[in-house]
Amino acid sequence: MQPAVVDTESYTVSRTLRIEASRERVWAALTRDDLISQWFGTSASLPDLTPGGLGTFGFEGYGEFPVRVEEVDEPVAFAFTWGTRDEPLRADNSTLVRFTLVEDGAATVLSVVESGFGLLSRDPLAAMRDNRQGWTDELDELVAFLEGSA
Amino acid sequence: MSDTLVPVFAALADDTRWAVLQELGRSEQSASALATRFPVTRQAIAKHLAVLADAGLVEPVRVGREVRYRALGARLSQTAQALESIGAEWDQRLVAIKRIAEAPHRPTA
Repeated sequence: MQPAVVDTESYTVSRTLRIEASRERVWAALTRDDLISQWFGTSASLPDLTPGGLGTFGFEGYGEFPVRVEEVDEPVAFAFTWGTRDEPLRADNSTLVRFTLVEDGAATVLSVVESGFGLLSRDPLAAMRDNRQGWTDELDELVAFLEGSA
Repeated sequence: MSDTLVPVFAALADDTRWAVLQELGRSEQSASALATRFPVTRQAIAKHLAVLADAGLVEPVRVGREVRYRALGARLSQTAQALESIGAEWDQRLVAIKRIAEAPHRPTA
């Protein structure tokens, strides 16, 4: 795993991880509803995998968050915007998540950048804390999933 | 200002404490969990946590019957800390994606 890269000026978060699997398999994990829900939230519905396609990510106990597909370049890049519960997606209530997949032999180097925190209309720090509450619960499920499949 | 920061610098002057704080910046953890990550006893970890807490760098959080500690970004950089937390969550998600993609048989829905 790469060292943490955090840019407090532009409010972006970047991470990279090498995965011993083909880009096709990583792509499936990123875009298939039944697989997304195993690493993000508790349910996922992305019925329209084209730019502009609308969907939702569900977080049990927190409801559903709107998602808009922004970029679909299989199996190279995938990006979506996800917003705030019970609100239509706007620039000031959402962040952009962009994945890039780079082939490395039989493996895939997966990078993710989440950006847009600086555009949030609420205090970015408070907004991140609010988001984080959901993510903390989500992590518990993630741990359960990882341990269950170990 | 320099007066109030003295305990912070003192708390951070120790390599193990600095490493413990970084670890807590990634995720909330109990003293027992931290003790498995460092070559020191749980008691030593508890002392380090007390120093960090006195300096306002960490705070205890009760989770069920467990007491976990979380890093307090306010003393260093609240925004950086929040972004670190989000980054730590992405680390976890990427690990989950890796697990899914590398699984010999894809998990069923």
